[in-house]
Amino acid sequence: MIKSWLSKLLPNDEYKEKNILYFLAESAVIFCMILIFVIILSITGIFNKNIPIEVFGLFSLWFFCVYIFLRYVFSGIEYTEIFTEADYKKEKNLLLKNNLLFLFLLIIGFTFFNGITSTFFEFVIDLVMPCIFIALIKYVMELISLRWSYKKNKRIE
Amino acid sequence: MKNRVKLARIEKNLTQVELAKSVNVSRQTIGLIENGKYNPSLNLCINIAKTLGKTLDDLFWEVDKGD
Repeated sequence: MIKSWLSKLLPNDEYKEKNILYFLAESAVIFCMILIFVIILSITGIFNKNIPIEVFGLFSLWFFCVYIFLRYVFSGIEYTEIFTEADYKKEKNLLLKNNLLFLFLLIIGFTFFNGITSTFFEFVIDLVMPCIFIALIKYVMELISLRWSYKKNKRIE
Repeated sequence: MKNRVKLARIEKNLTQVELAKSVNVSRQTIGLIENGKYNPSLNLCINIAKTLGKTLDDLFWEVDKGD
């Protein structure tokens, strides 16, 4: 089978690999459609020229990544071996532990790059709160992925 | 696609996990194949057939009732 360099970055499991390729392709098609739409608006003069092209470029890139990420999370293909209630609970606890560790490392990393703040209040507001927010988003998305995977696995058991 | 993978696996006394490991896919993929919700590649079909000691016809060929 002819494989591209992209296959080196994809999982070995063929169902998972196929799904991720679909998500990438869907996102690329939407991305192209948005670009064509904006070009048409730009030619016809409807597109607001006050919006810098960099902002539009970053937004498109953000959408491209978020689309793939959300499709992956809600497809239930991440946790392929979680079939029992016990496995599910065990994985849930593991997720919590991993995310607490992630939060701890994130705070250390942020402190390392941004430097130590002058007051404890600043430390909490400028460093700890953004870290908690990032870790919380990560934890919630992983939980959703786990839940969808578990539900999908139960249906096909 | 209807198939007889589950029957053949049970005949061979293999669990989904064991079959998945021997053909190098996830348990979820085996579950989906058994339930007819995923059509595997020819390579994977051959690997499953070899592991279960069956032919592709035994596992995947749909026989019409009139035949």
